[in-house]
Amino acid sequence: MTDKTNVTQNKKHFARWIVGVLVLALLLINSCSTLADAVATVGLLTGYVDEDQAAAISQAGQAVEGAFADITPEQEYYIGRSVTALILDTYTLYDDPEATRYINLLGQSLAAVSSRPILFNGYRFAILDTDEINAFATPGGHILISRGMLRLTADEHMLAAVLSHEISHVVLQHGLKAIKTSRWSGAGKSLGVLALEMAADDSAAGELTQMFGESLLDITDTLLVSGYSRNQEKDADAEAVSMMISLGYDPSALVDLLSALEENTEEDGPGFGSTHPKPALRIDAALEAMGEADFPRNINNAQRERFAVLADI
Amino acid sequence: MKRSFQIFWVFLLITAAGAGIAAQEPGDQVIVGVRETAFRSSPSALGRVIAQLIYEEPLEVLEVRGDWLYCFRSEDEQEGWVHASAVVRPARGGLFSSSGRSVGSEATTEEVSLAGKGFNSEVEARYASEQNLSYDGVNQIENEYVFELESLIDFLQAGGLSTEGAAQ
Repeated sequence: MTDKTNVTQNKKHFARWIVGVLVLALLLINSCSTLADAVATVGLLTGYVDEDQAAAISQAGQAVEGAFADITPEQEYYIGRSVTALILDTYTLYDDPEATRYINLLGQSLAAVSSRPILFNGYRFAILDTDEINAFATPGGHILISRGMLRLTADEHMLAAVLSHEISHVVLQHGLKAIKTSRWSGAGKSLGVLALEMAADDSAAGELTQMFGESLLDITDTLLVSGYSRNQEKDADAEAVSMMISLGYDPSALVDLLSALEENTEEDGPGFGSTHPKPALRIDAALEAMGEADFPRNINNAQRERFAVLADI
Repeated sequence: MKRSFQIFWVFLLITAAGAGIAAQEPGDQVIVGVRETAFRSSPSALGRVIAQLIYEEPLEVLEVRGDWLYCFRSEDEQEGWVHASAVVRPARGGLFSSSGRSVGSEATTEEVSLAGKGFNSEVEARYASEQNLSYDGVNQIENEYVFELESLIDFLQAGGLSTEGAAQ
């Protein structure tokens, strides 16, 4: 009985291996335009699926490849919640109600003038208890700023630059694009493996949970280790400039922030330095986004007083 | 053959979950895709609230202006502006494959519900328990500092900032 089970197991592993190699081969020699086509073709060749099913897989796959760009606000929210939970597995929340209230008032005001003011559950801002200079935004609108980053800001305008840059990553769906690029433009391993593992498992909910977990890892890997692309950072800066101008903040505060980051981070250092392009490289693009107009930096007493809640951060 | 059905199912799941944000046109039927939002008097996130809208309420698009949609709610014949990112197309496809063959007979109720919603609270609960991950911090972040529009406008006015910028 045990022997028989082993033989079946081995056969199953061998079959999986063969199918995997075939999928990869078809993708490499480019005879299939999408991974789903490759899976469908291999499925057909190996007798896993019949012709009708192969056609359906191929067709459904075309929707799959656009699925992450087309994900609903509710799904973004649940992805965002878990990304936040994973970040909070590494970092601790900083317990300062006044400072947290302040960055939420400012952040939610900025988000209201972004090109994506409404999320499934709105935007939320929190402080991470670390000296590391860093900031994270999840697809669900959870924005986490480190104490180290807050210390670099000299006034409310610079704080607005930090927050609006992070809001822009949500608005431009950079987190979701991290799933898409790493999952769909690579060797396509994840979908292939997923499809194959599906064959051995009987619970679609379990598979969906696994896919959820893999998507989260794509995002947290980008946030914590590899960083967004230089172009994504520039796009986020440009969007931030437009938000700041809408509310009357001086967008050149973003340039001040980038200069402060340039002075205080090292490319091979922890956190921000290792996950972002050199701040100096972003300054020209930020200036370009501002155009020729000259913006005043008006700081009244109310602004000065409320910014003081960050004095001892 | 059960195996091939399952390969198929994973694609179907994602396809069904693929209802999403897309450019809307007058005449389109949409549903509210966020927990709560509002009909506003002007195409602006700082515009006056005319009526509250809740998750999955159906609306008809009457006019499109940039990112804002002027919509009609048949239930009480209210009209107002809603941001395009707050609505989604109704889920398409359901449990029928492209060839029209029903595959629903082999799907459990749970699977059907997951297919419609994609990544949702059930998936989160399964993931949280598999990973032994705490959501206490997330819940804390979400439950504090939820501001009404008025508080934001007060905040901006006190700081000498613009409350007109939201008009797009």
